[in-house]
Amino acid sequence: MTAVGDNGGTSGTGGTGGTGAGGGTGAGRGTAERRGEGLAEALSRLAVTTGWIFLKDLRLAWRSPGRLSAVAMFAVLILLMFSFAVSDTSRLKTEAPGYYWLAILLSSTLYLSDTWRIEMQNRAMEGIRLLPVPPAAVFFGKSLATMLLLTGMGILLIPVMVGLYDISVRMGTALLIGVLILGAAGLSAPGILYGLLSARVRSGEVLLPLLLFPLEVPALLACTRATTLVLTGDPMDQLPAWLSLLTAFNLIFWSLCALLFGRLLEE
Amino acid sequence: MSRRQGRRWTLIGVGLRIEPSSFTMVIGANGSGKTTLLRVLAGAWTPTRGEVRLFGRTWQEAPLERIALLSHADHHYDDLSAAENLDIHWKLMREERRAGAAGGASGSVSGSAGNGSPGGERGRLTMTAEGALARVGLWKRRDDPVRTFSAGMRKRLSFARVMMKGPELLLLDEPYSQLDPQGAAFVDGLFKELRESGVTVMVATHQVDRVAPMCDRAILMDEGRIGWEGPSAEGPSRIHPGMQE
Repeated sequence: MTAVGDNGGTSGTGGTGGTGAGGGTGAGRGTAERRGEGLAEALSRLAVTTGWIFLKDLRLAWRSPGRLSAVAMFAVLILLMFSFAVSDTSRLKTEAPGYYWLAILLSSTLYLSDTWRIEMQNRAMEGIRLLPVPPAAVFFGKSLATMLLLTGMGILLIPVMVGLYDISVRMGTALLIGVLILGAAGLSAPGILYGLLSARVRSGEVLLPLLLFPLEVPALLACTRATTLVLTGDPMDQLPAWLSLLTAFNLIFWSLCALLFGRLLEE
Repeated sequence: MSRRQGRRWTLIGVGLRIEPSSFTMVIGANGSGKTTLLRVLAGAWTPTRGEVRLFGRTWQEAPLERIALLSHADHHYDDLSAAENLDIHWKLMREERRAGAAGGASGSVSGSAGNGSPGGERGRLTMTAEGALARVGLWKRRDDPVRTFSAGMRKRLSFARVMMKGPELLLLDEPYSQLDPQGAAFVDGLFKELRESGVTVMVATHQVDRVAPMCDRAILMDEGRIGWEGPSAEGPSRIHPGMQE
C-alpha cells in the first residue's frame, strides 16, 4: 500500500457541496431541501465549468484561424468536387443535401482530430483533469464548442451550396439553420468521445472515421432528409418526424457519451 | 502497489508511507520508476494492482485539488499566452475550490490581484495568476504565446501553475532540469518556503547532492522496486555517480 498524508486531516473536501439549509421544520424535509440545494449547486458549478472549457476551446480556435479555415476550405472543396463529379444538374440539385452533410461530416473529422491533438500536446488535457475538473464539464464544454464551430461552418456552406448546385431554400433559411444546429449537435457529441479514443492510439486519424461514421448513419440520414424537405418543401408534413429522430439521437448520444467520457479521459 | 505499462511492469510492489509536511527525495537511474511513482500519486496514472491512499482516501476518490504535479509534460497550450494558460487553470480551480469550500474545505483561490504572497492556511501557497507570473519572473512575457518560450521559461510557467494551486502535496519531477542558475536558485528558495508552509513534497531528481540537504528522506528506485529508503543525507552515497546529471 502506498499512502500519503493520511493523518486524518479534517480539511478534506469530501463534502457534497451543500451549504446546509438551516432551520428546517422537519428532519426529512430539511434533508430533502439540502439535497435539492446540493444538486442545484452541483449543476450550477457544472454549467460554469462547462462554460470555461467551452470558452477555452473557442479561444484556442480563435488563436489559430489557419486551422479552422483549412477545415472550412476542405468542406468547400468537397462540395466543389461533387459538382464536378456529377454532371447531371437535376441529379445534383436533388442530391445536394446529401453532399452538403457529407461535406460537414468529413470536415468535422479534421477538426476533431485537431482539437484532440492540441489537448494531447504537452498533456494539456491531463493538466485540466488533475485540477480536478469534472469529466462531464470537459465533455459538454468541448462538445458545445464543436457544435458551435460546425454550425458556423455549415452556415458558411449554405451560399456555396446554393451557388454551386443552383437550389433555393423554399421553407426559409432560419429552418435550415435549425436543422443545421441539430445536425451539428449530432456530430459533435459522439465526435468528441471518439476523437478522444482515437487520440489515445497510434494512427488515430485513420481510426476516427472508421469508428464515427457507422455511428452517425441515423443522424446523417435524418439531417439529409430534413434538409431536403426544407429545400424542396414539405407537402406531406414529414419534417417533424425527421427532426424528432434527430432530437432523440442527440438526447441519447449526449447522455451516453457524457457517461462514457470520464472513463476514457482517466488514462 | 504495482503498475504495468504495455507488457512491462514499471512499478513492482512499491509500499511506502509519506508523512505530512515531509520532504522526500526519489532517486534512481533512468527508467527506474521515479516518474511513474509520482504520476500514480498525482492521480494521472492508475495503479494496476494494490492500493494507494491519499489523505486517507482511495486512489479513485483522491482529493486532487490538494495535490499538484510538476512533470516533464508541462500541461500548457502552446497557442495561448502564459497569462491565458494560467487564467484558464485559475478559473477552473476557483470553481472546484468553491465546491470544496461549500463542503468545509480549506483554501480558496484569492480573488485579488495579489503579489503572490503565501496564503495563511497550512500548506497553502494560494495566489492569483498575475501573482504567480510575477513570482516566476515571467510578468514581462505574460502576453506572449507559450510556443515562443524556451524550455526553461516553460518550466517556470509550470512552477507558476503548481504554486497557484497551493497544494498540500507537491510532486516534482526533475524540477531543476532546463533551468538556468537563476531558475535553479528560485527552486531552492521555493523549497525553503514550502518547508515553512508545511507542504508535503516528493522530488524525483538526479541532482542528488543539491536536493539531499533540503529533504528528510530518500527513496532509491531500482527497476520499479524500492531498492533502498533512508535518511536523505545518505542518498548521495547510495546512488551510482553516473546517475547524477
